[in-house]
Amino acid sequence: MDLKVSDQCPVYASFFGHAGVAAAVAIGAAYGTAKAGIGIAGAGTFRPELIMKMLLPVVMAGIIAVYGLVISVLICGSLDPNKSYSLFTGFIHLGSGLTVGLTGLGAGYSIGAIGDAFVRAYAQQTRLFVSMVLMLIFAEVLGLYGLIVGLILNTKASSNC
Amino acid sequence: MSSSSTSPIIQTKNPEFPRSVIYKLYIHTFFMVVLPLSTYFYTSKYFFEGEYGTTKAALSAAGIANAVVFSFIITAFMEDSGEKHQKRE
Repeated sequence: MDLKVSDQCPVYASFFGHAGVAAAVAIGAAYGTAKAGIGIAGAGTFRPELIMKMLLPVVMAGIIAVYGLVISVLICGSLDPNKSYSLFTGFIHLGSGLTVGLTGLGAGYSIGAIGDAFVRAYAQQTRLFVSMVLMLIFAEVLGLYGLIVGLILNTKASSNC
Repeated sequence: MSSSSTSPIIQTKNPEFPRSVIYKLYIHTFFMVVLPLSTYFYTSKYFFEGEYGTTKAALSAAGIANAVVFSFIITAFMEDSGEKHQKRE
């Protein structure tokens, strides 16, 4: 067992790592799915043949959740009870999880708002589809930026006790 | 959508929701759930070794998720253009 406890690797350090895993949950994606779903339900009653294309905001919100899942799996992979775990690494994991979670919250919120408004307008004017796709892509890369920052943070994790 | 009595191409029990649409949706949902995770584990185990191995594996998982969305957009476009050809005939 390669487990050392010192001032730099206290016993409670893994609390922050686990908190980082929990911070990357899909709250923003849930809001985006819900808000876009309300718009789809409203607009789909008039134009049911367009529903397949109206489901795009829901799919984009799902990607935000996938980003949170990826960073959680990544952090979980380096949590091991039989190895020493420094407080610095714990804070890194907390920071990367929080980054992905908070940017996912913002990106999911914007995807929901855009999706709601645009699917209602798309039912009346079908030329709006391309601009909806463009705006959704821009909203989704906000979540991607958070994932990139979280990944860069995660590379600095090292446990020297 | 064209109803089941006049359209020979789309076979459906429910005229408002063709089976092909639901099938495409299920396939994309399934791939959205399964592909990124399996890409991450597969590439981090077999392809990317070394210092930034897990980072590259995570980026490839994010890329695969975006590819699934891209294929969904393409599918939605093709469905629309297929319908237009049908109506012209």
